[in-house]
Amino acid sequence: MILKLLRSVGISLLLFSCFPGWSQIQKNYSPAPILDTISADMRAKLMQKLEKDKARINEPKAQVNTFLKTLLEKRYDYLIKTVNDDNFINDPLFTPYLQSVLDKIYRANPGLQAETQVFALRSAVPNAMSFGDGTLGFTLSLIARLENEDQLAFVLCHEVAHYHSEHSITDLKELARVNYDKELKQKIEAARRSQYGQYTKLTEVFKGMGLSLNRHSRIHEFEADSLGFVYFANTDYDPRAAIRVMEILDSVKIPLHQNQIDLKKHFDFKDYPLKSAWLTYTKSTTWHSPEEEADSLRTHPDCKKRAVALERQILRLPPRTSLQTANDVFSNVRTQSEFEIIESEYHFKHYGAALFRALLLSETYPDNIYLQAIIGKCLYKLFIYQRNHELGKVLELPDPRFPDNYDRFLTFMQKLRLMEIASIAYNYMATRPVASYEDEEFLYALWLCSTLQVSKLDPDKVKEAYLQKFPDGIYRKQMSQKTIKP
Amino acid sequence: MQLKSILAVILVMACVAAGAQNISKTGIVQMRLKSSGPILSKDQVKGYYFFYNLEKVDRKNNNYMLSVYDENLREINSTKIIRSTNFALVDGAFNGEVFAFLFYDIKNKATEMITYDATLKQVGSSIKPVTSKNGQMIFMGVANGADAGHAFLVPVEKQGFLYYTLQDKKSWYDITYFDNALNKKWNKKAVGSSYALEMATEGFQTDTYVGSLITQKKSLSSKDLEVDLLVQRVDDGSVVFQVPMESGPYNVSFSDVFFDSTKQNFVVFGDYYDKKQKEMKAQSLGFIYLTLDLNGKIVGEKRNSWAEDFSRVTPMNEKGKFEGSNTNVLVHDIIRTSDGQIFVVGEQYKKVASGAGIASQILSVAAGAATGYYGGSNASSSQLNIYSLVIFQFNPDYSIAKVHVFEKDKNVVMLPAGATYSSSKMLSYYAKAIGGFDFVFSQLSEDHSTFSVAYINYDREKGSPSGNLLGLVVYTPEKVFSVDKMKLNRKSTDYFVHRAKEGYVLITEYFRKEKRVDTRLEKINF
Repeated sequence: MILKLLRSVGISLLLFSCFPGWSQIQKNYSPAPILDTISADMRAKLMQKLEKDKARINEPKAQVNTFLKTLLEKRYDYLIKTVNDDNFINDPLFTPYLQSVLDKIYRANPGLQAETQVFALRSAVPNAMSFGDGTLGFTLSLIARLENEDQLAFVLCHEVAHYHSEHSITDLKELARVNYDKELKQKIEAARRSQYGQYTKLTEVFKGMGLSLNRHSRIHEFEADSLGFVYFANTDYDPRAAIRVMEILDSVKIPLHQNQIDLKKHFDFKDYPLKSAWLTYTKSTTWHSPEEEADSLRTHPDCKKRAVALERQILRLPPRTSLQTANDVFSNVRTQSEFEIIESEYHFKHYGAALFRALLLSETYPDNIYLQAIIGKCLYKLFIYQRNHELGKVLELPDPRFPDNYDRFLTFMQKLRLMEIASIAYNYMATRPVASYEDEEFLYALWLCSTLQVSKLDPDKVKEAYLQKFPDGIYRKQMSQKTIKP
Repeated sequence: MQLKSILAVILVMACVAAGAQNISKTGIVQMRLKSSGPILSKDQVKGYYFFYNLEKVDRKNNNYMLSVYDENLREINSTKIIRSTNFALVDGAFNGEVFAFLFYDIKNKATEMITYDATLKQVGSSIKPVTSKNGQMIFMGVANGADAGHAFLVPVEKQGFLYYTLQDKKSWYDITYFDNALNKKWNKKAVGSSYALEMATEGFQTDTYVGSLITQKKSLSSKDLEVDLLVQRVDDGSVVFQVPMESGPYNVSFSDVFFDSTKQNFVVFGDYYDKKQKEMKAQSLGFIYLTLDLNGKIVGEKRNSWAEDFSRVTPMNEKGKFEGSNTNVLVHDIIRTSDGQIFVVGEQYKKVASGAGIASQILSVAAGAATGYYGGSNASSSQLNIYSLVIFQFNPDYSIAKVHVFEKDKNVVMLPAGATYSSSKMLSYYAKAIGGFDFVFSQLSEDHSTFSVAYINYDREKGSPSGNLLGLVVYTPEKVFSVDKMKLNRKSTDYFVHRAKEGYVLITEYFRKEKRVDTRLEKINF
């Protein structure tokens, strides 16, 4: 046990040295690199696993065998595509940390073969997943919502349980069963041939099919909770963290940050004062049909029911003194995940969402240069999209069902006229502290905004300053094109 | 593989993919012009309706889906309606509490009005047979995509709806005020009229008064139109007054009317012409404003003649034609901003000889000479050319301030045989009814300080649907005009541009092959 503890502390210390400290993140942030192509090593491992899984398929019917193998190949292709679409983070920060927690779980459960690997996923939706081939994913948004490593470890235990229980292959077999279900086939054919009520009949058939698949999915979730908790109980983590995870998952619809953005603080400039009319806001009272809340339509069971089941397991545990892990490393990972969500939203061209999150975070880190640069870049992009009549692709319209702070932000942004966005973008960047001008991302954002018609800065001079400071800078190519005022 | 067949079936199922500012619906069997449209309340877009056929339920009936979205294109709710196979939606309105929809059953020749609460739960229903031939023609035309030019349903804030239609068997007006549950509150009909046709359309509506424009014709073939202003109290329908739209030697045509609550009077606006001439052939002499007191008595008048007043601000002749181009102007809308200024939105047009029509007629005659059978050609030797958008700007004292001309490509409206003998004015009304003009809508902001006018720059002669341009003329808060242009690069079978919430336009595209309808909001730049 002592050896285990030392090993864990050692890893934590090693990881801690990789993360920027509190004071550093106050000033700046360097985002993780974008992984746009899967590594040869990872692809080879996945292929190996695919072949292994295919070899194990042994159903009585040949056509079912072929179908299942095709599904496995599709699963492989999907994962490769997900990685190639930049959704995975493989960096010296998140990856080793998450893997270190996973390793801890395996060390505490020596009966399990440690054949999974975990990655952080660039997603603003709080979730974790097992892809079925040994790859586990943990979204940045879920990391940002958890409170300590114990909770993170329980989520991983749950996903590990999915993997080792082979839930993915069971789901594929259920899909195969549905696909070759003679009765279902007859029902579909009858509905298709039907002269009248075709839509209604097909809807009923597929609803029934969905209910069956969802029921299986919910059973798997309970199993993964139960088995995952067994793995979790073998570690030094606090068992009650499992209950707290359920409470957190139950509240994911409530925003992590509910404070209002002080738009006046950010966008009121001496040369371009904020107009009070931009801040007027009336929450819409329009009624909207609520989403289907029926349990039978969910893929996951109700979190409260899951918490009750876990509580029963906790009561059966022998009394023990829990060893709470030091939270410094986790705390850094969580903070960084908030920055990384912004980077991801920007990368996926969700400029409105990126701007909203950046403004929210800059309430906590007002001097952070990375946030200043991303705010400038987002405003510039929103200007370009609005000019091209494509704003709807990158900025949502208000909705009374959104969190209040987001709805207010969207109302504000949607009110702005084209040149008002340009003026805010330029004035925001031009009024940042001089210290920010030393940063590469900031200078690039400043150059973008200096190309706007309203700019009083000469973009060529900004470009010159950038090239002087960063002769090998990553934005040389973009800036080498002739500057045309948009 | 069977999966493919299951997936193929799933694909033809109706499904909705909601994005940030767009919605996509598949499985749409048929799309009519009136299948979607804005829901108005106090002249502002508060949402949209979509009505489409899902499936046949039996030999005589279809299962329709009515979906209502808010002004940001987010679904409020949907409801299914089983009705006859020829059921079409012709109008929709919202009074702040209740939605009302007017349908026309083409086969059974009856209208059905249904009201729903804010959750789309049915509140009331009222079916009425349409026995008047003119009424049947109007509803049939609108159901098939023609522009009625006026609303059938007029919302009365939180109280109910006014319904404008024609009486049974007669072509006389019938105005009914329904409460939210569609209980009849009052009704006003033309009784014992000496006119063959007497139609009512909404003029204005306030908390106290409802004003209607009554258009009258002595005979159905008559080219002589008379227009009355009818003012009633909203609460009980009692008539405040009904007066003819005339002043001294002049008649007033294409009228717009509003109630000035501060001065407690009614202001009527339109173009005026010599009373002695037949309205459809008469040349407009200019624009006129009449101020009427609460008894309908004219207490003020202001005329702006083409010959004197307009020619001072822009080169125009005494017939209201722009000097040099010799074109007429068809008025589409009249807008009054909060600072008292009035803007008249119109489009230039000109009746000219049609090369294609003449060639077609020559070929027809030649073919007749050769075969001995003179069948004639359906093409007219005339066509209507549509030119620039024109906005006349009037000062609060009703004197002309400026004339703004927004150039766009020429658009040609082919006319039916016999059109050569109709007046230009008559033909412009025909072109307007078939959607021949480029003007789409105008939209006044909620605070009445700004407005936008939408038009489609589409050369129908060249027939290049992918190259259409949506033009938006915006009267900005700085009180100047700016023009925004959106390229409608599209591959759809058809598309419709609708009014949207302030600062936006709604574009709906129908892809017949994919049975798909895409709808999106676009922000206007100004």
